[in-house]
Amino acid sequence: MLELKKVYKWVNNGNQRIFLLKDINLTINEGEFVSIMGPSGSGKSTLLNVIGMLDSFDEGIYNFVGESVHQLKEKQRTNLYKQHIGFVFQAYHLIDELTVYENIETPLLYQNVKGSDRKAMVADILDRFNIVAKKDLFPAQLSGGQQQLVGIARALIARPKLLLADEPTGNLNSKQGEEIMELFQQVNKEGTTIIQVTHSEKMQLMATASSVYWMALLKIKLRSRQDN
Amino acid sequence: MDNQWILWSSFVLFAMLLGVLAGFIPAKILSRFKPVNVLKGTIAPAAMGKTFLRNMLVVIQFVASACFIFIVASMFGQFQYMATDNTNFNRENIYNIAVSENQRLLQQDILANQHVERVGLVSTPFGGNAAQASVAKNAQSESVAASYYAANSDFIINMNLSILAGSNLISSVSDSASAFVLVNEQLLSALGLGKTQDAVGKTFMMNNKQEVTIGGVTSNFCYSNYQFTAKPLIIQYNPQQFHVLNIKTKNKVEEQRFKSEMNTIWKKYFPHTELSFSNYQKDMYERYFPGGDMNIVGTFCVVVLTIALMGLLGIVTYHNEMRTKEVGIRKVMGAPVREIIRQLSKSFIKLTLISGLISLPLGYVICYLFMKLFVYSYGVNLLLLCTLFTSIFGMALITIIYKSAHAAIANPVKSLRTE
Repeated sequence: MLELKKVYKWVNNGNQRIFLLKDINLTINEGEFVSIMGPSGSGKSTLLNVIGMLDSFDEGIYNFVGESVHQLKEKQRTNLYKQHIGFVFQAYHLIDELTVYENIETPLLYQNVKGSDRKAMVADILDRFNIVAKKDLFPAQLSGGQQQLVGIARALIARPKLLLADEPTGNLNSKQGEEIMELFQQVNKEGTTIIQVTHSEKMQLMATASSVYWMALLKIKLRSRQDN
Repeated sequence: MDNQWILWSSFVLFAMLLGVLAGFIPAKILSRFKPVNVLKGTIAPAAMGKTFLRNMLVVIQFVASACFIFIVASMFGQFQYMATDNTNFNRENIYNIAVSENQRLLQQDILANQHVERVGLVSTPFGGNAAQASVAKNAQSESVAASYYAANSDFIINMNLSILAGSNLISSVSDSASAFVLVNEQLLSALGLGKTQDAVGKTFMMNNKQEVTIGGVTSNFCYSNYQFTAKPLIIQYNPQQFHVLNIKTKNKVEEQRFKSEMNTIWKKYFPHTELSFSNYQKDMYERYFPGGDMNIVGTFCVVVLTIALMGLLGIVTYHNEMRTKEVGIRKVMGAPVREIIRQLSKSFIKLTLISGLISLPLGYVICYLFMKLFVYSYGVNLLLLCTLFTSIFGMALITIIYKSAHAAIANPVKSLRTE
């Protein structure tokens, strides 16, 4: 599904070059559930942003569903990621001024989905996530776990092939975290590839990811892989 | 001395009051916050519920500056009209030479010049202070003040006056004053001489001693002050009082060359006196256009507009900063830059349009009232107001879109960073 070869990212500070990613080689197949672990500052989030095409890189090759990302223009890249990638954040990043319903609907607005289809899709996912009763509430009126649920619903609404999650349980208590991880496993079983970044070993184990990578000092290493 | 003290202390008091209010109101709003809500993050600064106040401030600022600019533009229009007007009396291609008495030979020599079309004679040109006369219907009735000009028929033609009834002054080279005069309609109504059509041939008393006959009637054109209806006017052929040669040239002439030609003729008759020569159009421009004042007011306009735009810039910047997180989220959701700019600028564009809806009618009324001060006015130029508003709106639009584009192209990774 995606492949990174010798990817480097850096910023220039004066005549000093500060690396953000070093020699990243990574191949992820469709249907995998990948966990990337590592201490903070090791470049996990940067890597996730690069995979999600939110951030650029300076050197190397990145192929995503057959497209060479490093050769695409900004606009094509936006089109590619908005069609295929969903994002889940540690801080949920819901829009405070919008209701649950409107938050979930947002990605569809930018993909020119017809009004009636939008309604059906949002209703469907509200039902699946058991949050129909909350649809008219604002994010501030929800608990952290519920907000993250909305965040995941929003990430999945456009049926992406790949779900990227940056510390999705980082702000939640362990029970809420477990629920989110169960949900992730279910989503993964239904065919969505998931890459999550975490520094919590426990969460990771519960998730029973198919592959686990370890990141340290801006480099990535495969730690374990389960073949089903 | 007293006035100075009042002035300065009111300045100081006003500044202090403003400072206290500017400190007090936000402090009051902030102190009303419940700590629990603030810590839970339910009160985001953007959701302070003070958007109404903020919107009002933007609108008021724009309405005030737009109205100010409208008024200044209308004033400018009116003064420009007064300074360049040729409808009341003609100023184009007219040059005046002051003479001490009736100079028939000089006049004929000037007329022989190839550029000159006509030479009129007058006591003093229109636009300045007229001689005063008193007029009465007859020896017994009460007298009324009037303006008096001594002129010949060519002057009337030079000035392009419209004769509504009767005829121009009789063309004459006689040395004695004529008993036939040209009057304006105002004189007829002031003396109760009836309708314009019937006035010709009627007589009235001038300066309590001379009975004159109305030979022609002109409209109530403005010959001096645009603010008031023209006073009763008498124009009489009276060679003793001719002091100005009123020269009309055939076409536009080069002023310096024409002046030196006139000077050559002048020196033949008066080798020891300076020629007093002036361009009537320029004289009238200087007489009616308050150039220095308009410069100051124009500068004020620029300052006012700049302040309004800076205020807008500040508010838009603040507003967009409050929404950087939202912008980041929307970008990650796949929102194109254009869409985000639209979202961010929508409310402010609405505000500037609302201020247009208020300031255009309001500005029209104020300008209309200003124009009402002038009996002879140019009228409110609605097209000018619309053009001005469009340019103010354009500048506001550039400000808003520039700031919004700035926010929209920012990298979402930066605004969504949690640590």
